[in-house]
Amino acid sequence: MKWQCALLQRWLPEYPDGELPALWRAWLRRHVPGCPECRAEAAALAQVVKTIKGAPLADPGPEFWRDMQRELHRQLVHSVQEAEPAEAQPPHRRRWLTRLTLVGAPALAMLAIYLGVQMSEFGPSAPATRPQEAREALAPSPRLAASPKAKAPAALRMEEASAPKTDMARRPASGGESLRLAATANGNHDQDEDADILTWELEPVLTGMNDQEKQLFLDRLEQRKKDGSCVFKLAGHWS
Amino acid sequence: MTDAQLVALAQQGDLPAFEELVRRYQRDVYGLACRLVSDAEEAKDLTQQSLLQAFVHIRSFRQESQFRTWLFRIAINQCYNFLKNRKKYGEPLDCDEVPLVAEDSPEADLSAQDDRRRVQAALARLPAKQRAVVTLKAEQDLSYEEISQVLGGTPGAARVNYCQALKNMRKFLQGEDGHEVAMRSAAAMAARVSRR
Repeated sequence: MKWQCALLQRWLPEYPDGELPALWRAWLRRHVPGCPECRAEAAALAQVVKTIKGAPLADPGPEFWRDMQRELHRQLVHSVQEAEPAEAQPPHRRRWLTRLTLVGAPALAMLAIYLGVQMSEFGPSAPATRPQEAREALAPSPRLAASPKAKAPAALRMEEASAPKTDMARRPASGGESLRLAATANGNHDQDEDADILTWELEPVLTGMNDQEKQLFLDRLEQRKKDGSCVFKLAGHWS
Repeated sequence: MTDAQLVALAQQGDLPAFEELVRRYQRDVYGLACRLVSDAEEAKDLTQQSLLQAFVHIRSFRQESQFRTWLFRIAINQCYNFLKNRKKYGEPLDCDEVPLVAEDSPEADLSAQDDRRRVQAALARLPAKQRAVVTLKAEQDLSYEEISQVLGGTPGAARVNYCQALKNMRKFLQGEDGHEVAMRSAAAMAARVSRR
Protein backbone atom coordinates (compact mmCIF):
# COMPACT_ATOMS: atom_id res chain seq x y z
CA MET A 1 0.00 0.00 0.00
CA LYS A 2 1.34 3.34 -0.98
CA TRP A 3 1.60 6.08 1.62
CA GLN A 4 -0.96 8.06 -0.37
CA CYS A 5 -3.48 5.19 -0.16
CA ALA A 6 -2.93 4.79 3.59
CA LEU A 7 -3.56 8.49 4.05
CA LEU A 8 -6.63 8.63 1.84
CA GLN A 9 -8.28 5.49 3.16
CA ARG A 10 -8.99 7.25 6.43
CA TRP A 11 -11.44 9.37 4.50
CA LEU A 12 -12.94 6.57 2.41
CA PRO A 13 -16.14 6.15 4.47
CA GLU A 14 -17.05 9.67 3.35
CA TYR A 15 -16.26 9.03 -0.31
CA PRO A 16 -17.77 10.18 -2.64
CA ASP A 17 -20.34 12.54 -1.05
CA GLY A 18 -19.90 12.51 2.71
CA GLU A 19 -18.53 15.11 5.12
CA LEU A 20 -15.29 15.86 3.30
CA PRO A 21 -13.23 19.03 3.18
CA ALA A 22 -12.95 20.30 -0.39
CA LEU A 23 -9.24 19.55 -0.59
CA TRP A 24 -9.64 15.90 0.43
CA ARG A 25 -12.68 15.44 -1.76
CA ALA A 26 -10.74 16.65 -4.80
CA TRP A 27 -7.80 14.42 -3.91
CA LEU A 28 -9.99 11.34 -3.42
CA ARG A 29 -11.80 11.97 -6.70
CA ARG A 30 -8.49 12.09 -8.49
CA HIS A 31 -6.99 9.09 -6.71
CA VAL A 32 -9.70 6.47 -6.09
CA PRO A 33 -10.85 5.80 -9.68
CA GLY A 34 -7.29 5.05 -10.69
CA CYS A 35 -6.33 2.94 -7.65
CA PRO A 36 -7.83 -0.59 -7.56
CA GLU A 37 -6.95 -1.08 -3.90
CA CYS A 38 -8.69 2.09 -2.74
CA ARG A 39 -11.60 1.43 -5.05
CA ALA A 40 -12.09 -2.02 -3.54
CA GLU A 41 -11.76 -0.64 -0.03
CA ALA A 42 -14.30 2.10 -0.73
CA ALA A 43 -16.74 -0.42 -2.18
CA ALA A 44 -16.31 -2.75 0.82
CA LEU A 45 -16.93 0.04 3.34
CA ALA A 46 -19.95 1.24 1.36
CA GLN A 47 -21.28 -2.31 1.45
CA VAL A 48 -20.87 -2.45 5.24
CA VAL A 49 -22.76 0.82 5.65
CA LYS A 50 -25.46 -0.45 3.32
CA THR A 51 -25.75 -3.67 5.35
CA ILE A 52 -26.09 -1.74 8.61
CA LYS A 53 -28.65 0.65 7.18
CA GLY A 54 -30.51 -2.24 5.59
CA ALA A 55 -30.91 -4.11 8.87
CA PRO A 56 -32.41 -1.67 11.32
CA LEU A 57 -33.80 -2.91 14.59
CA ALA A 58 -37.33 -4.21 14.43
CA ASP A 59 -39.96 -1.89 15.84
CA PRO A 60 -41.37 -3.54 18.97
CA GLY A 61 -44.87 -2.36 18.07
CA PRO A 62 -47.33 0.29 19.29
CA GLU A 63 -48.23 -1.63 22.43
CA PHE A 64 -44.62 -1.55 23.56
CA TRP A 65 -44.41 2.23 23.11
CA ARG A 66 -47.75 2.80 24.85
CA ASP A 67 -46.55 0.74 27.80
CA MET A 68 -43.29 2.59 27.92
CA GLN A 69 -44.97 6.00 27.76
CA ARG A 70 -47.41 5.02 30.48
CA GLU A 71 -44.63 3.83 32.74
CA LEU A 72 -42.50 6.84 31.99
CA HIS A 73 -45.43 9.17 32.66
CA ARG A 74 -45.86 7.58 36.08
CA GLN A 75 -42.17 8.06 36.84
CA LEU A 76 -42.20 11.66 35.59
CA VAL A 77 -45.21 12.56 37.72
CA HIS A 78 -43.54 10.95 40.71
CA SER A 79 -40.34 12.92 40.09
CA VAL A 80 -42.33 16.16 39.73
CA GLN A 81 -44.10 15.53 43.03
CA GLU A 82 -40.79 14.80 44.72
CA ALA A 83 -39.10 17.83 43.24
CA GLU A 84 -41.89 20.36 43.91
CA PRO A 85 -40.93 21.39 47.46
CA ALA A 86 -37.24 21.65 46.60
CA GLU A 87 -37.85 23.55 43.39
CA ALA A 88 -40.44 26.01 44.57
CA GLN A 89 -38.10 28.76 43.45
CA PRO A 90 -36.39 28.93 40.08
CA PRO A 91 -32.74 27.79 40.04
CA HIS A 92 -31.24 31.25 39.69
CA ARG A 93 -33.24 32.39 42.73
CA ARG A 94 -32.00 29.42 44.70
CA ARG A 95 -28.44 30.18 43.61
CA TRP A 96 -28.80 33.77 44.78
CA LEU A 97 -30.33 32.62 48.03
CA THR A 98 -27.39 30.30 48.60
CA ARG A 99 -24.90 33.06 47.85
CA LEU A 100 -26.79 35.49 50.05
CA THR A 101 -26.78 32.97 52.86
CA LEU A 102 -23.08 32.31 52.44
CA VAL A 103 -22.24 36.01 52.52
CA GLY A 104 -25.00 37.18 54.82
CA ALA A 105 -24.57 34.69 57.62
CA PRO A 106 -20.97 35.70 58.48
CA ALA A 107 -21.91 39.37 58.07
CA LEU A 108 -24.82 38.97 60.48
CA ALA A 109 -22.58 37.10 62.89
CA MET A 110 -20.00 39.90 62.75
CA LEU A 111 -22.72 42.49 63.30
CA ALA A 112 -24.04 40.57 66.28
CA ILE A 113 -20.54 40.32 67.76
CA TYR A 114 -19.93 44.01 67.18
CA LEU A 115 -23.21 44.96 68.81
CA GLY A 116 -22.52 42.60 71.67
CA VAL A 117 -19.12 44.18 72.27
CA GLN A 118 -20.60 47.66 72.05
CA MET A 119 -23.38 46.81 74.47
CA SER A 120 -21.00 45.17 76.89
CA GLU A 121 -18.99 48.38 77.04
CA PHE A 122 -21.94 50.01 78.77
CA GLY A 123 -21.88 47.13 81.16
CA PRO A 124 -23.91 46.85 84.29
CA SER A 125 -23.03 50.45 85.20
CA ALA A 126 -24.94 51.86 82.23
CA PRO A 127 -28.23 53.49 82.97
CA ALA A 128 -31.24 51.46 81.99
CA THR A 129 -32.32 53.99 79.40
CA ARG A 130 -29.04 54.09 77.41
CA PRO A 131 -29.05 50.65 75.67
CA GLN A 132 -32.66 51.24 74.85
CA GLU A 133 -31.71 54.53 73.26
CA ALA A 134 -28.97 52.77 71.30
CA ARG A 135 -31.44 50.23 70.04
CA GLU A 136 -33.83 52.98 69.10
CA ALA A 137 -31.03 54.70 67.27
CA LEU A 138 -30.29 51.51 65.29
CA ALA A 139 -33.92 51.18 64.30
CA PRO A 140 -35.27 54.68 63.98
CA SER A 141 -38.95 55.10 64.71
CA PRO A 142 -41.30 56.06 61.90
CA ARG A 143 -41.74 59.45 63.53
CA LEU A 144 -38.03 60.11 63.43
CA ALA A 145 -37.62 58.71 59.97
CA ALA A 146 -40.37 60.95 58.71
CA SER A 147 -38.93 64.06 60.26
CA PRO A 148 -36.44 66.01 58.15
CA LYS A 149 -34.22 66.46 61.17
CA ALA A 150 -34.39 62.82 62.02
CA LYS A 151 -30.87 61.95 61.10
CA ALA A 152 -29.16 64.28 63.48
CA PRO A 153 -30.82 63.03 66.67
CA ALA A 154 -30.43 59.43 65.63
CA ALA A 155 -26.74 59.93 64.96
CA LEU A 156 -26.41 61.77 68.20
CA ARG A 157 -28.03 58.96 70.10
CA MET A 158 -25.77 56.46 68.43
CA GLU A 159 -22.81 58.56 69.40
CA GLU A 160 -24.24 58.75 72.84
CA ALA A 161 -24.68 54.99 72.99
CA SER A 162 -21.19 54.21 71.83
CA ALA A 163 -19.33 56.97 73.65
CA PRO A 164 -17.50 55.77 76.72
CA LYS A 165 -18.43 58.94 78.65
CA THR A 166 -22.17 58.42 78.59
CA ASP A 167 -22.57 57.50 82.17
CA MET A 168 -23.42 61.02 83.13
CA ALA A 169 -25.72 60.17 85.97
CA ARG A 170 -23.04 58.34 87.91
CA ARG A 171 -19.90 60.09 86.79
CA PRO A 172 -18.88 63.01 88.95
CA ALA A 173 -18.99 66.12 86.85
CA SER A 174 -16.13 68.53 86.90
CA GLY A 175 -16.75 72.12 87.82
CA GLY A 176 -16.51 73.36 84.26
CA GLU A 177 -18.87 70.74 83.04
CA SER A 178 -21.35 71.54 85.76
CA LEU A 179 -21.26 75.18 84.86
CA ARG A 180 -21.78 74.37 81.23
CA LEU A 181 -24.59 72.09 82.23
CA ALA A 182 -26.09 74.75 84.39
CA ALA A 183 -25.73 77.32 81.65
CA THR A 184 -27.41 75.05 79.19
CA ALA A 185 -30.16 74.24 81.62
CA ASN A 186 -30.55 77.89 82.19
CA GLY A 187 -30.81 79.08 78.65
CA ASN A 188 -30.61 77.15 75.38
CA HIS A 189 -33.24 74.58 74.69
CA ASP A 190 -33.02 72.51 71.63
CA GLN A 191 -36.35 70.79 71.26
CA ASP A 192 -34.82 68.16 68.98
CA GLU A 193 -32.58 66.56 71.55
CA ASP A 194 -33.58 66.91 75.16
CA ALA A 195 -33.01 64.86 78.29
CA ASP A 196 -34.75 65.00 81.60
CA ILE A 197 -32.30 65.97 84.28
CA LEU A 198 -34.82 65.16 86.98
CA THR A 199 -33.77 61.55 86.66
CA TRP A 200 -30.19 62.46 87.50
CA GLU A 201 -28.54 62.11 90.84
CA LEU A 202 -27.56 65.55 91.92
CA GLU A 203 -24.82 64.59 94.28
CA PRO A 204 -22.09 63.96 91.70
CA VAL A 205 -23.19 67.00 89.74
CA LEU A 206 -22.95 69.30 92.68
CA THR A 207 -19.58 67.95 93.74
CA GLY A 208 -16.90 70.48 93.00
CA MET A 209 -19.24 73.49 92.87
CA ASN A 210 -18.86 76.24 95.36
CA ASP A 211 -21.85 77.26 97.42
CA GLN A 212 -22.82 80.07 95.15
CA GLU A 213 -22.80 77.86 92.08
CA LYS A 214 -24.70 75.16 93.90
CA GLN A 215 -27.32 77.61 95.05
CA LEU A 216 -27.66 79.07 91.59
CA PHE A 217 -27.98 75.61 90.04
CA LEU A 218 -30.53 74.40 92.57
CA ASP A 219 -32.59 77.55 92.22
CA ARG A 220 -32.73 77.17 88.52
CA LEU A 221 -33.52 73.50 88.85
CA GLU A 222 -36.35 74.31 91.23
CA GLN A 223 -37.61 76.89 88.82
CA ARG A 224 -37.53 74.33 85.95
CA LYS A 225 -39.35 71.77 88.06
CA LYS A 226 -42.08 74.26 88.68
CA ASP A 227 -42.60 75.33 85.11
CA GLY A 228 -41.99 71.85 83.69
CA SER A 229 -39.13 72.82 81.42
CA CYS A 230 -36.43 70.89 83.25
CA VAL A 231 -34.39 69.86 80.22
CA PHE A 232 -30.98 70.63 78.90
CA LYS A 233 -29.10 70.14 75.73
CA LEU A 234 -26.86 67.12 75.70
CA ALA A 235 -24.96 68.04 72.61
CA GLY A 236 -23.36 71.07 74.17
CA HIS A 237 -22.34 69.09 77.18
CA TRP A 238 -20.60 66.32 75.22
CA SER A 239 -19.00 68.41 72.54
CA MET B 1 -44.06 23.16 17.65
CA THR B 2 -40.28 23.01 17.35
CA ASP B 3 -37.96 21.15 19.70
CA ALA B 4 -36.64 24.44 21.08
CA GLN B 5 -40.15 25.64 21.97
CA LEU B 6 -41.01 22.33 23.59
CA VAL B 7 -37.76 22.36 25.51
CA ALA B 8 -38.45 25.89 26.73
CA LEU B 9 -41.88 24.80 27.95
CA ALA B 10 -40.45 21.68 29.57
CA GLN B 11 -37.87 23.83 31.33
CA GLN B 12 -40.76 25.68 32.94
CA GLY B 13 -42.09 22.35 34.23
CA ASP B 14 -44.57 21.62 31.43
CA LEU B 15 -44.89 17.84 31.54
CA PRO B 16 -47.00 17.42 28.35
CA ALA B 17 -44.34 19.36 26.39
CA PHE B 18 -41.67 17.01 27.63
CA GLU B 19 -43.82 14.00 26.82
CA GLU B 20 -44.15 15.28 23.27
CA LEU B 21 -40.35 15.35 23.08
CA VAL B 22 -40.34 11.82 24.45
CA ARG B 23 -42.72 10.68 21.72
CA ARG B 24 -40.43 12.21 19.10
CA TYR B 25 -37.19 10.63 20.29
CA GLN B 26 -37.99 7.52 22.28
CA ARG B 27 -37.44 5.28 19.25
CA ASP B 28 -34.02 6.76 18.55
CA VAL B 29 -32.95 6.44 22.16
CA TYR B 30 -34.28 2.91 22.40
CA GLY B 31 -32.52 1.93 19.15
CA LEU B 32 -29.25 3.35 20.39
CA ALA B 33 -29.59 1.55 23.72
CA CYS B 34 -30.46 -1.71 21.97
CA ARG B 35 -27.39 -1.46 19.78
CA LEU B 36 -25.16 -0.64 22.71
CA VAL B 37 -26.33 -3.18 25.29
CA SER B 38 -27.76 -5.85 22.94
CA ASP B 39 -30.63 -6.55 25.28
CA ALA B 40 -34.18 -5.39 24.58
CA GLU B 41 -35.40 -5.39 28.19
CA GLU B 42 -32.33 -3.60 29.48
CA ALA B 43 -32.57 -1.17 26.57
CA LYS B 44 -36.14 -0.36 27.56
CA ASP B 45 -35.10 0.31 31.15
CA LEU B 46 -32.14 2.38 30.03
CA THR B 47 -34.35 4.38 27.68
CA GLN B 48 -36.74 5.17 30.52
CA GLN B 49 -33.89 6.10 32.83
CA SER B 50 -32.35 8.34 30.17
CA LEU B 51 -35.63 10.13 29.50
CA LEU B 52 -36.23 10.54 33.22
CA GLN B 53 -32.74 11.95 33.69
CA ALA B 54 -33.34 14.30 30.78
CA PHE B 55 -36.50 15.59 32.46
CA VAL B 56 -34.81 16.01 35.82
CA HIS B 57 -31.90 17.94 34.30
CA ILE B 58 -33.68 19.74 31.50
CA ARG B 59 -33.22 23.11 33.21
CA SER B 60 -29.48 22.72 32.85
CA PHE B 61 -29.84 22.22 29.08
CA ARG B 62 -28.79 25.53 27.54
CA GLN B 63 -29.88 24.67 23.99
CA GLU B 64 -26.34 25.08 22.69
CA SER B 65 -26.77 21.76 20.89
CA GLN B 66 -29.84 19.97 19.60
CA PHE B 67 -32.09 18.37 22.19
CA ARG B 68 -31.72 15.03 20.38
CA THR B 69 -27.93 15.20 20.67
CA TRP B 70 -28.16 16.05 24.35
CA LEU B 71 -30.57 13.15 24.89
CA PHE B 72 -28.20 10.78 23.10
CA ARG B 73 -25.40 11.89 25.36
CA ILE B 74 -27.46 11.02 28.44
CA ALA B 75 -28.44 7.67 26.93
CA ILE B 76 -24.84 6.85 26.02
CA ASN B 77 -23.72 7.61 29.57
CA GLN B 78 -26.46 5.39 30.98
CA CYS B 79 -25.47 2.59 28.61
CA TYR B 80 -21.76 2.92 29.41
CA ASN B 81 -22.54 2.70 33.12
CA PHE B 82 -24.66 -0.36 32.50
CA LEU B 83 -21.95 -2.01 30.39
CA LYS B 84 -19.35 -1.20 33.00
CA ASN B 85 -21.43 -2.92 35.67
CA ARG B 86 -22.19 -5.87 33.45
CA LYS B 87 -18.53 -6.25 32.62
CA LYS B 88 -17.77 -6.08 36.32
CA TYR B 89 -20.18 -8.91 37.02
CA GLY B 90 -18.98 -10.89 33.98
CA GLU B 91 -22.30 -11.13 32.11
CA PRO B 92 -21.79 -11.72 28.36
CA LEU B 93 -23.53 -9.83 25.57
CA ASP B 94 -26.32 -11.82 23.98
CA CYS B 95 -27.28 -10.51 20.57
CA ASP B 96 -30.34 -12.78 20.40
CA GLU B 97 -32.05 -10.59 22.97
CA VAL B 98 -32.56 -7.66 20.63
CA PRO B 99 -35.86 -7.36 18.73
CA LEU B 100 -35.48 -9.11 15.38
CA VAL B 101 -39.04 -9.90 14.30
CA ALA B 102 -41.11 -7.24 12.59
CA GLU B 103 -41.65 -8.00 8.91
CA ASP B 104 -44.97 -8.93 7.40
CA SER B 105 -44.26 -11.90 5.18
CA PRO B 106 -42.58 -14.97 6.67
CA GLU B 107 -39.89 -15.13 3.94
CA ALA B 108 -38.98 -11.51 4.34
CA ASP B 109 -39.15 -12.00 8.07
CA LEU B 110 -36.64 -14.82 7.96
CA SER B 111 -34.30 -12.97 5.65
CA ALA B 112 -34.54 -9.74 7.62
CA GLN B 113 -34.05 -11.59 10.87
CA ASP B 114 -30.91 -13.14 9.50
CA ASP B 115 -29.53 -9.78 8.37
CA ARG B 116 -30.35 -8.20 11.71
CA ARG B 117 -28.75 -10.99 13.62
CA ARG B 118 -25.57 -10.74 11.53
CA VAL B 119 -25.34 -6.99 11.95
CA GLN B 120 -26.11 -7.16 15.63
CA ALA B 121 -23.54 -9.91 16.17
CA ALA B 122 -20.88 -7.92 14.34
CA LEU B 123 -21.76 -4.76 16.27
CA ALA B 124 -21.62 -6.62 19.55
CA ARG B 125 -18.03 -7.57 18.86
CA LEU B 126 -16.95 -3.96 18.44
CA PRO B 127 -15.60 -1.93 21.34
CA ALA B 128 -18.36 0.12 22.97
CA LYS B 129 -17.15 3.43 21.58
CA GLN B 130 -16.96 2.16 18.00
CA ARG B 131 -20.39 0.61 18.43
CA ALA B 132 -21.71 3.97 19.54
CA VAL B 133 -20.03 5.79 16.64
CA VAL B 134 -21.39 3.37 14.04
CA THR B 135 -24.89 3.56 15.47
CA LEU B 136 -24.88 7.33 15.69
CA LYS B 137 -23.42 7.81 12.21
CA ALA B 138 -24.96 5.02 10.14
CA GLU B 139 -28.33 4.67 11.87
CA GLN B 140 -29.03 8.06 13.42
CA ASP B 141 -27.31 10.09 10.67
CA LEU B 142 -25.49 12.40 13.05
CA SER B 143 -22.62 14.48 11.72
CA TYR B 144 -19.11 14.04 13.13
CA GLU B 145 -19.55 17.34 14.92
CA GLU B 146 -22.67 16.04 16.66
CA ILE B 147 -21.05 12.69 17.40
CA SER B 148 -18.18 14.52 19.06
CA GLN B 149 -20.74 16.42 21.17
CA VAL B 150 -22.34 13.14 22.21
CA LEU B 151 -19.22 11.11 22.85
CA GLY B 152 -16.71 13.83 23.63
CA GLY B 153 -13.48 14.33 21.69
CA THR B 154 -13.15 16.01 18.32
CA PRO B 155 -14.98 15.50 15.03
CA GLY B 156 -11.73 14.21 13.55
CA ALA B 157 -11.45 11.57 16.26
CA ALA B 158 -15.06 10.57 15.62
CA ARG B 159 -14.31 10.17 11.89
CA VAL B 160 -11.25 8.01 12.57
CA ASN B 161 -13.27 5.90 15.01
CA TYR B 162 -16.01 5.46 12.46
CA CYS B 163 -13.57 4.42 9.76
CA GLN B 164 -11.94 1.91 12.08
CA ALA B 165 -15.33 0.60 13.19
CA LEU B 166 -16.42 0.02 9.59
CA LYS B 167 -13.24 -1.89 8.84
CA ASN B 168 -13.81 -4.04 11.91
CA MET B 169 -17.45 -4.55 10.97
CA ARG B 170 -16.41 -5.68 7.50
CA LYS B 171 -14.05 -8.17 9.04
CA PHE B 172 -16.68 -9.47 11.47
CA LEU B 173 -19.40 -9.64 8.83
CA GLN B 174 -17.10 -11.55 6.49
CA GLY B 175 -16.17 -13.81 9.37
CA GLU B 176 -19.84 -14.33 10.10
CA ASP B 177 -20.45 -15.23 6.46
CA GLY B 178 -17.47 -17.56 6.53
CA HIS B 179 -18.80 -19.07 9.73
CA GLU B 180 -22.18 -19.58 8.09
CA VAL B 181 -20.59 -21.18 5.00
CA ALA B 182 -18.60 -23.45 7.27
CA MET B 183 -21.72 -24.31 9.25
CA ARG B 184 -23.68 -24.99 6.05
CA SER B 185 -20.93 -27.17 4.61
CA ALA B 186 -20.71 -29.05 7.89
CA ALA B 187 -24.44 -29.62 7.82
CA ALA B 188 -24.26 -30.78 4.20
CA MET B 189 -21.40 -33.07 5.08
CA ALA B 190 -23.41 -34.51 7.94
CA ALA B 191 -26.39 -35.01 5.63
CA ARG B 192 -24.20 -36.74 3.07
CA VAL B 193 -22.73 -38.94 5.76
CA SER B 194 -26.18 -39.83 7.05
CA ARG B 195 -27.36 -40.67 3.50
CA ARG B 196 -24.46 -43.01 3.11
